[in-house]
Amino acid sequence: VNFQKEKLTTFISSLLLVIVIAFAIIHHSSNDVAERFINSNTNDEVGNTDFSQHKQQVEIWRKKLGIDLPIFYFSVESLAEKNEFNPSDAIDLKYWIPVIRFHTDNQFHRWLFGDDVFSRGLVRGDFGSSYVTRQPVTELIKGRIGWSIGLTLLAILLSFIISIPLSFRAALNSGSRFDQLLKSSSLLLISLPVFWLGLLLLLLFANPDCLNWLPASGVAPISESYSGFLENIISTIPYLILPTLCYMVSTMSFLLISIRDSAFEELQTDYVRTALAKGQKESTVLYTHVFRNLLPTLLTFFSYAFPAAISGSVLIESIFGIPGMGLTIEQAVYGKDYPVLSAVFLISSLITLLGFLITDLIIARLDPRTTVKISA
Amino acid sequence: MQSTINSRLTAFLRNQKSKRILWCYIIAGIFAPFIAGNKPLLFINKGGIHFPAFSSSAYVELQPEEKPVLANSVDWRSMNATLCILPPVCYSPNELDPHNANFASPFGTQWQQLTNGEMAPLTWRHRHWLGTTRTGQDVLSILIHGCRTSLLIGFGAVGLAALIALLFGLFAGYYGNEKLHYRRTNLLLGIIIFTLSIFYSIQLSNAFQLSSTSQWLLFAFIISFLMLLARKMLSIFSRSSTSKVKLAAFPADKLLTAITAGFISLPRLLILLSLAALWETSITGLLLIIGLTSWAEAARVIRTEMLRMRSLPFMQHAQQSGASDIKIILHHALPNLSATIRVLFLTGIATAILSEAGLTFLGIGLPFDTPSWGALLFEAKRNLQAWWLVLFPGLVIFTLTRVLFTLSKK
Repeated sequence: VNFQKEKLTTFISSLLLVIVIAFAIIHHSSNDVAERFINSNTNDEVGNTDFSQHKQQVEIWRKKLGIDLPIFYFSVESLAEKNEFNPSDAIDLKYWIPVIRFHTDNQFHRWLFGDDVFSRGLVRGDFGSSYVTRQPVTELIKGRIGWSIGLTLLAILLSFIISIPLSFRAALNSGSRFDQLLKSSSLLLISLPVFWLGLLLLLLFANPDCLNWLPASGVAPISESYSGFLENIISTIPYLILPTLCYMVSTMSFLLISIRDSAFEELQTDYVRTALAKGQKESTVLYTHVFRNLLPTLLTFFSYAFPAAISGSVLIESIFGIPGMGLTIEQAVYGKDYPVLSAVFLISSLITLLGFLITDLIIARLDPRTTVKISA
Repeated sequence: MQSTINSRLTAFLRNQKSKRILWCYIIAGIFAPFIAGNKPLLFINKGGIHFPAFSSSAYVELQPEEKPVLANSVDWRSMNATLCILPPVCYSPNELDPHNANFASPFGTQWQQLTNGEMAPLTWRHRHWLGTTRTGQDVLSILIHGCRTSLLIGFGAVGLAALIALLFGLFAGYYGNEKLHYRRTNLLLGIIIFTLSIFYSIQLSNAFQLSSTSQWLLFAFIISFLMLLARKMLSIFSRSSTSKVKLAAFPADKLLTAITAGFISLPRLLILLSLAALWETSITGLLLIIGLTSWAEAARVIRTEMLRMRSLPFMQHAQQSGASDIKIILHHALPNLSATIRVLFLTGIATAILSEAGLTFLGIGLPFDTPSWGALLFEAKRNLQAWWLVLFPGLVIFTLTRVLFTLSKK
């Protein structure tokens, strides 16, 4: 219970930190936001907006977006309450006295809980609306999160399935030529930039001048007709081969060598020697005894592979044009679309934090010794 | 026995090769303007001997009685000279070659305009050996100048990260959770002093309309002044009540573990992207961003090493013989950490270079007038028919990271 409590507190504190960072992102440039809203709203009637109307609109938008409110629950200000600074104020003694002011209605509160008029708040799943497309961010992300998570999970699982037997074999015959090959290839993979590999794959396999085997970008053929669930999946598979390969390289570079090392350590233990001496088959020893004992370690690797894969997804989705979160964040950065940026940051951080929490809890169930080790 | 000697020998030779390649990169980075540039290294004409590539001014005085000319706009190749030695690669990275624009292939014919207006194939001396970009920039020249950018960011960011990691890791590892004590009142006082100095530095700089740098200076001045004042006051105050000072253990180790866990669990590229979107990115900006986000893992490793070392006899002996904490950390612990630090440094440089190239590849990192490898790959993403834009920059990045990782493996 103590272990679970500790893990939960770290989860919650990290989550709070992430929320604060996301808020800092969204409110980084809140001054020109009102201007941006007006500029794009009056795009069709450029020229006949006079200045007074412009100023009025800025006021309206500032009010609507809540920019005129204080930022946080409390602030340190001078006793003299002035928005615009005059040099003559500095003579006033009040100007030099700091006071703490508390605000019940502030921007952070509105962002979190909504103001019941314009937004419903973060806790009810409202991330605000995009500065560029005016669409609610939630809708924008809803259609895209599936691709990212699906591809990432698929690639991680596939790389586990491939690298476990390979590294087990290398650990069993440590020092052999196969082991050397595995070590050097993992070194090769770790120094291979993912974006370069993606471009090379495109150049080789999706190039009309070279091998035109696979489609270059997108996730589905452009066709109007809906032709059944299974056929849709089959038609998507060629689009996913290259991206999955790219993902797998970035995760396998680290998996191969780590699994090999931990399996090698496990193979030195007494129970393995006994089992082998009794005449058990090597594969039985590896896949029933060693694998079970390595499960917690493998789960830790899984939780570490996840943030790395999400980082890689930005690059890979940009290369292959997969409509996922990575592509969304890239476009958001280009368009200075801070609500989308902060929402994607928040969601992917939440996913990785949840992944860490869940793997920790599962490990605690699988191997209760870890809980004791932590609390001692 | 024979086999171990053999393997050690091969490892040593491989290391030598890697070191040599790394030095090649460093030399290319340092001497980039003299290896690739459009200004001649040596230029002799009737006006005398000139070294345009080595002079820092933009103008060159070729004839004593004529006006000085702008070094970048002169076509040095068609100049009248007794001797003109151009750098090995005779294009600067931002020089546009209009006759070979729109992706001149490294193997195809490349063109030049003769003085009489005719077009002729480029001679081998002036060829674009690795092709050109859409605007006619020389790829090889960009690669050589990109060395400088990448190594600057790599070494700078890792230097910054190593400083932070060493500071936090050594501190947390040495003091642990119980060893360091502090007064609760001091903590409270510290918070008050911090907010007060922020407040007064802002108010003062508003009143006197100061710039942001002087605002920071003012902040540093006020905070140090207030801290000295508080210390003096406390020493006077505590003289009367030394007996009832309440001390609490400072959980340095727990604090560091929590912070680094937070850093490691967040996807790094996303943090980098968000920061790059918020800040103006230049070489220094990117260096700061990468450096400030990549220290966590190194700090964790250093902390673990320090924790292990703390219980070793030589450390305990040093403590018992009355050496100060700072002396123990710097003089006894740090030299023993050098192998670990070397590994962290090398892998750190490799990952920093990879993240810089990745960010620039997305079009978010460096501005496009800065020559960098990632920018070439960014251009290649839209124009895949120009295979030389994909192959060579990627190969350069791959070789460098590979060498760094090999060296870190020993």
